[in-house]
This record gives sequence, structure tokens and C-alpha cells, in this order.
Amino acid sequence: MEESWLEEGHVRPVPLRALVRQDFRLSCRRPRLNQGWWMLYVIGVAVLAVGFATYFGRRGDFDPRPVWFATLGFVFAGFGFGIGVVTNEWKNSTVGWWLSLPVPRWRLAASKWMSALLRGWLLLLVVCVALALLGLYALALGGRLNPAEAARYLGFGAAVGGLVAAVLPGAAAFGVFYGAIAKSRWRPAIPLIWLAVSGSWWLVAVHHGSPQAGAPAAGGPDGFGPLWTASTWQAVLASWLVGFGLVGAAAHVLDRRLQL
Amino acid sequence: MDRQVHHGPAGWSQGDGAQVTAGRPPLSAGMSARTENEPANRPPAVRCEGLTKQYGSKRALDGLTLEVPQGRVVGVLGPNGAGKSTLFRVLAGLVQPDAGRVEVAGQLPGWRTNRQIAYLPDRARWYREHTVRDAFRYAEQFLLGFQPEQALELAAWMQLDLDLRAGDMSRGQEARLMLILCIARRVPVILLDEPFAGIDAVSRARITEGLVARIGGGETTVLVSTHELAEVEALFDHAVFLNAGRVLMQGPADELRRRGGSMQEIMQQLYV
Repeated sequence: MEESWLEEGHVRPVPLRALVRQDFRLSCRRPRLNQGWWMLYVIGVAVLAVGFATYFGRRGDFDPRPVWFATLGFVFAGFGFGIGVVTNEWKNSTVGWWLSLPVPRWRLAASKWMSALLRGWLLLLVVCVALALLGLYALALGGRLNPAEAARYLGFGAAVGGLVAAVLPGAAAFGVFYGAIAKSRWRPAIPLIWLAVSGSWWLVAVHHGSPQAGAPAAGGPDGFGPLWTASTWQAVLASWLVGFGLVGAAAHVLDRRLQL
Repeated sequence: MDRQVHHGPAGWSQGDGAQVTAGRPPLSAGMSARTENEPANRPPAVRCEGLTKQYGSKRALDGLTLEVPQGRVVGVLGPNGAGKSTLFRVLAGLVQPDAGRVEVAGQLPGWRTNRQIAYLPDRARWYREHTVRDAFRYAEQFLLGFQPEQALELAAWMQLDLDLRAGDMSRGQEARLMLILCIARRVPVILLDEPFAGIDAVSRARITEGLVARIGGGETTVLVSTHELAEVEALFDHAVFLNAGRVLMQGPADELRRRGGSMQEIMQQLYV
């Protein structure tokens, strides 16, 4: 039977890029708020941010660099995006369409991971641009906007933002894996997963000091230690490897362990 | 009801694919597995053998054995919990059976087989930000064998505005859209799991008209699971009655009707 249908040119592979584009569009859709409320929130956040920048900038002695640490929240956001992009298929009752696509499950999982990652990176970029503008505005208000200060502020932002961007793949992969597990027969293993994550975190802390060692720490020549050390690179590389493994594990769960 | 018609898991064939003969009630000519003009060497569209699927303590499929010939419109009928949706999910490769053997279009279910299956999932919704046009574009890209011209014709026939968003559709309009996405595909097997669930009578009539216009009489095998028998039973060439994860009765629809009345009446005799 198959040959007769295949011969008629019905088979063409579904490209990963198309899947990612579809998943990215779905993952980026706005919450169910009407346009007015949406604008209200955006304007409210902008007014608050500019208000704070104005207040602290006028003090003159304000060092805006710590605001970059706000981007660390994107590590958790990346995890959340990963969970959401998978579990939304159940929430929106589209899981049957998604899982019956003629595409291997590893590709479905990889597409979800990439779309969560792209979303995380895109939002991180937007936030970084906003923080850069706000910081420069605060420096200008304090009369300290010069090339050296600007470079110091932006350089620090690039280091922090770069670090967050580098660990986002691992965080998003963990989210995709977690989302798949949550909808599978392995759901009871979720506490074990958290135990394993906590244990790993503790082990890293014991062996290398704080997991943030090499990351922001007071005492450097200008108040912050170097962010990108050899151990940072190792940790980032390790998170990528673990991330690839988690995407593969998510594909296995989607293929063999689902509870539908 | 003459229970000699078709009993238990044995259907058009035994589990090993052999025709039902010794040790079984004889099949009348009208109830035979294949019609006389059907080539004997055509593999079945769907073959299940001892299929078992357990959810916790509930056995959704309990040694289900079934063989569906190609090119038929088959009603898969039974009360809630009979195993219809689980069977469809197994055929579409969404879940793995715990035991038994299953083939769709001669292959094990899985993503490769899904190139040859159009599957309308049970209680499914469509992506709410898609317009009808977006959905057709999606189908062109991801659903193999999708024929956009057919889809456009069906959309006009079923009175679906191409610029209407799924999120703004009524349940009936959304059901029509999802049905079009399945029946506008040129594939050997179409699985429609409860295409009428929660749909008003007007939309049901439209959908049935669409089905009549598009399916049947060709090479495509269509399995339809539904509780809304009144509108669609005329579509069925064959019917399979499930209960508690097993095949209770199956056979050519005309023969079943001759012996037991309408499908609705047979349902009542079997389950009430």
C-alpha cells in the first residue's frame, strides 16, 4: 500500500525550521488581555522603570551596574518557557495534532526547545536594550556619562547578559524535559528530579564554592569579580551537553511514555 | 439479533490474518471479510492483534483483534469507555500498546506511518490564532497529501470564512475546519475520532454533507468513531462495535442492518 501512495509524490520531509517557526509563533502569543489592558501594563512598567532611573540617576553617586543582575531571572524564565511550550499543547487541546505530525519525536522536542530558546533570547535582548538605555539615562542625569563610564556599564551588561544567554539553552531544555515528564507516566518521578537538581546544585557549591563563584562577587578591582572565567566556560559547556541530553530524553518520553 | 453474525475478537479475519473458517460461525456471503471483486492480496488498512492498553487499573483495550480492509468507511461504535479513542490513538502512534500487534497501512504506527494517516483527535481544538487560511497553510506545510484546492472547495461548501480566526469560531465552525484538514488530504487512512462531539445539528448536517461529498468509494479507508449515529450511519460500509476494549460485533453495515435494524437499534440491543 505504501509504495503506491509514496510514488505519487506525497512524501516530503517537514523541515525543522518550519516547525520552529510555528512553535515560536505559538509560544510568543500574548496572554488573553485586550489591547487596552496590554498597553496599560506596558506603559505602567515603562513609567516605573524611567521613574526609578530618574530617582537614582539624580543622586549622582549611583552605580547602575547591578541592575544587570535582573537578567538572571531569565534563567528561570527560560525554564518556564520550555515547560509552557510543551504543556500548552495539552492546555489548548492541540496535542493530538502536534503528536500526530509525520515528524520524529526528537524533532518535535528539538523544535519546542529552539522556540523556547529563541523566545528567551529575544526577550533577553529587549530587556538588555532597555536596561542599557535606562542605565545611560541614569548616568547622564548624574553628570557621569562619558565614554569610559558608558563602556564600563555596557561591558558589564554584556558579560552578565552573555552569561544568561549562554545558560538559557540548558534551562529551556530542562523546561521541555520537565513539561514532557509532567504529561507522562513518569510524572511521579518529578520530586526525584527536583532532588537530583538540588543535589547537583549542592555538589557544585561544595566543590567550587558558590555556584556563582567566578560570577558576580564583590571585591574585584571595580567592585565585581570577572564573570567569564575558565570555570564559567566549563559550566556553560556542561549545561549545553546536559541540555542536549534532556531534549533527547524529552523526545523519548513523548514517544514512549505519554499518558494520553 | 442473530449473534451468529460476528462475535468476539474474530472479525474479518483471525488474529494471524487467516480467514475465519473452522471453529467459527460461518459467515454469510454478505458478511464475508472481503467482497468478491476485492483483490485477495490487498493488505488490510488496519490490523490489530491481541491489542492491550492499560491506564492504571483500567484496561482500555483488552486483547482487541480487528482487521479492516482497504477502501471502506468503517463506523467504530460503542459507549463511552469502550476503547474507541484509545484504539485511534494507538493507530495514530500517539500511545504505545502494552501488548499485541498493530499495523496501519502495513506498517507499525509511528511518525512514519502518520505520513499516510489523517487523524482528527478526540476533543481536539485548532490553534486559536490561526485563520482558516493560516490553518490551510499549516496543513500544506506539515500534513502530507493535503490538497489546498480541495480544502478551499470544502471551506466554501461548509460556509467557512477564510479570514475567520479559530479563536473566534463557534464550536461547530471549528469542527468543520478540523474535518476539512483531515478529509482534504490524499492519504490511505483517515481516522475521525468523534468529529461531531459538541456540535449543533446544523453544523453536523454540514459536516455530514462534507463527508458524503468527499469520502467513500475510493481507495481511502475511513474509520469514524461517533455517538451521533443518526446522521452518519448511512456513510458506513462496515461497523465495529466495541465494548470494554474488545470487539463485540463487526461486519458489513448492510448485513448488520438487515439482521439488527439501524445501527442505533443494534447499539441498543448490544449495550442497553
